[in-house]
Amino acid sequence: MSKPSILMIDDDESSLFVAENLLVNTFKLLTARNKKNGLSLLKEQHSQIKLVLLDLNMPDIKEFELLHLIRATYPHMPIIILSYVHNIQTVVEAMRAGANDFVTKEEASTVLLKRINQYILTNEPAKPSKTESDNTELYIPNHPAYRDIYDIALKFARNGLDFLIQSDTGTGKTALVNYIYKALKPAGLLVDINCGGIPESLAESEFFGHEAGSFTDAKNTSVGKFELANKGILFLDEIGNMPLTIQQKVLKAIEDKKITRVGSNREIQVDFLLIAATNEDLEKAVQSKRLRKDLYYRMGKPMLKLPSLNEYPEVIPEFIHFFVHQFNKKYNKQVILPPTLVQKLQNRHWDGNIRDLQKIIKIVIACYPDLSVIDYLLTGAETHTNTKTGGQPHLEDKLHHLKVSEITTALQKHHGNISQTAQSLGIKRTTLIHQIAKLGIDYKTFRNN
Amino acid sequence: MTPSTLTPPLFHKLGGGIATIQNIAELFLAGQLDTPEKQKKAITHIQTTCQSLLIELRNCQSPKREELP
Repeated sequence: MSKPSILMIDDDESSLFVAENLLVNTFKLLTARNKKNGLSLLKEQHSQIKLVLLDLNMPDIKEFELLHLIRATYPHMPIIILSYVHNIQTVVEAMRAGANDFVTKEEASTVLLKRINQYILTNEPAKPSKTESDNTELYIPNHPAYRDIYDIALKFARNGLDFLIQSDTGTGKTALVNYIYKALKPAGLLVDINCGGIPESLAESEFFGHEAGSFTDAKNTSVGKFELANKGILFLDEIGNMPLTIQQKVLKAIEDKKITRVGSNREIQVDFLLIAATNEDLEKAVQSKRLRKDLYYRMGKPMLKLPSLNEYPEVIPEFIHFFVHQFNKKYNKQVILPPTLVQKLQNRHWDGNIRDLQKIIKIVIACYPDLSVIDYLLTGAETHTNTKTGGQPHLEDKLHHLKVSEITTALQKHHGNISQTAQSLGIKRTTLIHQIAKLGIDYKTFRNN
Repeated sequence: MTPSTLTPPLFHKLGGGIATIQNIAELFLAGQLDTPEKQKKAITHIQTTCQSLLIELRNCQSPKREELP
């Protein structure tokens, strides 16, 4: 499976070296050191190039000229500006000229891969999938513990190696499988089976399909999940809860890559990548005779473990930022959580992991500006620090909300124009810029309002 | 006192150079530079960047000794 291509246009050798080593595991990096080479590579390979990384300061061209040119010729091409210039005017100008994003070179090593992934993996229309997780946007924290697992999983998948994900509930097993599917772009579907959710009596038909008339309710021929996953990915979730009676047939189907529909004698060849997942210790399932030993040995290795949210609390703010953005979009709001609340959430113990955090952020955004809901949600939560304020929002939080509300209202009114907004608020432009940065307001969102 | 001249292009060069060194350091820490060739290349980039920064700084107009307080 070939890696998606990215074109980087930059005259600085060191920047190219950094990007090359940063992206080597996930993308194929094409490089151009000037306008002419960049445009000619784009012309030749634009159907393969998924994104352009563009420097603004190159000797043979004016600051935004190349950006204008690329945007005019390739209107749907995602363009990320990668520059060490990051004053607000340049950022605003770049976005107006059609850039999708702006990453400063000093933050490249920490955020570039994540931003690229967001554009390539979430903005690209996915192939049809049978999973209900299609609408789930992907987020991979910029942390080695997560990045490594995603990289290894992708390497296994690219080499056609089946694997098992054994992790606590809510740690992102389905998200990882979706990521693999979107990165691999196989010809077939991503088919997921919740092995614990299928009644024993229907399991064989669900897994392998049936011929019309093979049993009382079988009025039509039905294709099973294994057959549906042909040329794609078969995701067996909660493998430890698979009905015992079906396990031998499942093992045979996995080993031989052949299935037989219920009521038929004809063997059908299938080819898929198998990813299994569980949140329990499968050895115990084997000991308690719920899982066949031979099936465990076939599917138990290699095994990947996604970290729980409590292991790396430093990634919590990243997830919060992502979910806030996701639900702001969904509920058409522009909520910015105060730092004290982010801190509270970071200090909380997350039994339900990412799924739990996502649910809480969803409720907070949906109910905003009713701050009482936040205290209600966190009341009784296990925290490492005593941050409870007796049901009353902290004064710092109130001031934060007041400032955010005033500034965002004014920005909205003036369509993100900094000078006009500052004037209407009666403060200096520089003060406004400072406040925008301090409060974490994404002023770009107001540009098109 | 005549202030030293840190023009915008020079400011950008300094910023870019420091960002490069920082990024290469991050690559080392993340274990991305996993072969001696890559490591050698990385060191060369750091050396080149430092040399160019030093040249830029030397050329930068600094206050004369007698002008210093």
